[in-house]
Amino acid sequence: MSSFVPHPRPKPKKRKLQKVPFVELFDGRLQGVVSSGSDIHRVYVSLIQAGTGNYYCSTNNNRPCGGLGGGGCKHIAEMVSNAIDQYGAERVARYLGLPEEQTSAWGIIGQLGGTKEKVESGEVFARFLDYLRYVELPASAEPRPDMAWFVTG
Amino acid sequence: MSAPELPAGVAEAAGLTAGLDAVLGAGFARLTPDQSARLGDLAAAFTGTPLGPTVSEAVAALGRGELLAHHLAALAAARASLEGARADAVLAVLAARQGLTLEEPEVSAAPTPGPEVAVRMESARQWLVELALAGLCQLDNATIVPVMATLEGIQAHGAMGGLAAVLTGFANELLDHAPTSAIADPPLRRWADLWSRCLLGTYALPEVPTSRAVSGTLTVLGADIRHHDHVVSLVVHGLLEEGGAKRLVRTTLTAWKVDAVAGEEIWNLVRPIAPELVEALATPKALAVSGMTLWSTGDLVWDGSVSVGAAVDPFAVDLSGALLVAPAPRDRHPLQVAVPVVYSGIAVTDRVLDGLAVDLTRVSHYSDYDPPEIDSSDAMVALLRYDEGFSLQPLAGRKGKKVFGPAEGIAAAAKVKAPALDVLRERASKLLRA
Repeated sequence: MSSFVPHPRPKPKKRKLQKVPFVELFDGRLQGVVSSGSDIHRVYVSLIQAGTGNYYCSTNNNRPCGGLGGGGCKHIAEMVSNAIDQYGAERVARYLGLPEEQTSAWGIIGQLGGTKEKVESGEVFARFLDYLRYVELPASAEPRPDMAWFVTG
Repeated sequence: MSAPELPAGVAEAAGLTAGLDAVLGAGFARLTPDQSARLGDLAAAFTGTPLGPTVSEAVAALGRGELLAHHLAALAAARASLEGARADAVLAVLAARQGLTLEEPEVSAAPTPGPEVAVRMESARQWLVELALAGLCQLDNATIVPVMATLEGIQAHGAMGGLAAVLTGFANELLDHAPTSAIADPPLRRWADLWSRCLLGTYALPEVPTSRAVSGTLTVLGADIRHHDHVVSLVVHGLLEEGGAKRLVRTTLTAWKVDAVAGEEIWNLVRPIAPELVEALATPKALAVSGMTLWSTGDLVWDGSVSVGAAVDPFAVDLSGALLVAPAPRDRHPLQVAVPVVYSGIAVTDRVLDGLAVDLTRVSHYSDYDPPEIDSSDAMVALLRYDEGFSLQPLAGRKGKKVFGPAEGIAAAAKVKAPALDVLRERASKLLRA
């Protein structure tokens, strides 16, 4: 077996960062931060649990999203759509444990089969802030042989 | 030229590491008699070597259920030394084939970690021990996620820059694949490599190679782009002419990143570290460097001054007779073998060139050198590689007057209007204010 096996990933497409500044597959959830369509100062936290398909969406001060009826809101759809751009639909669907291959955001949402389940938005905000921490770390001009194993991401 | 012949013992050594990897995959907490026997084979192979007694003792102790970090580290050291021996054999064959003079680097002792660094190394070590006990192919989120807090502490210390880069990449790759028991064909050898490299990295900081200031003319040959979700690391290969001596050198430019920074924007992360060098990748010009630090490993650290000279043709550079330095002892691994080679007046036929497979596995999508361009190139800069066989990794090429490679991305990066990072920071400020 080879020492060098890049796990093949599709080349990421350009995301709509203004709309969805943060999206990730982490700890059994697809989660992200989504800008409000009407208020430039407001952002939402959206998430979907892998396996159960349970979902939630709330504002940054923990108010539930008004659009959360049966089966997800437009913020969740925007998050899924950006996750597809970032990771490819196949990887998103696989991570969420969906039985059938899906290529669109609403196709994925339609298969979830979960219900609304509250999660504190702070957990996801903390991950976004942790994510931004990376870009503040200093660059280096010293050798990094440790990076020889990586060519994806 | 025909394909190089694989030196004796290289394939056999890989068989010995495969035995250890199988145990790492299944987990030391569930060691079977058959697995113990394979570890015994590994220990037997080290009889009479300086590592011999330590490896034998570790195998015996692990067999008795004494699942301690230093026993696992002994096995990681054994594994690293086998890979190092394979790398030495392969590199010697390639240097001889290309008419290069192979030199050994000089390294001095590693600095002693201060208390803050030591405690973080220990924390990472504990996590790696948990992985080995559970088995790399038996991991779920609950075993992997706890390292996230440790990562932050390691990333914050420049002294552990190498460990931070590999540990971050490894942890995120495992998270992507959790639960690892569900994967049909887990990349066990790769994960065992990464685990070993990380574990040994938690015991000692890298040795410091000797260095000296150099001045001379640098011709940039091409760039190997390595990256994972949070780091991009560019290795620029070049030929340094110093007096009458020709020397193959590398300059590494590394920056942390997030996945929203993609496409040509990655060039904007590394360009500030060495602007003239990155520009020379796009528009090849001779670089007169002075007062730069050259490590005895052949690493040229971009800390001196540079003046940009006349245009040069990287596809016409003659590398024969140049000096090539072997990697520092801790970095000896077949994956670290990278011997630059320049071709012109060539035709790539069925992905074979110069008797070697043209392997695209390690070609980054940031390299802007696509398969049809590779297949149609009449000139090429590549790296001779070894991983289960000798191969060529294309870096840049040319067909007629059309040049393939990173030039396009580098030019586009300079014109980015709304940098991803600016957008992210503005959005983050909104959520912090609320």
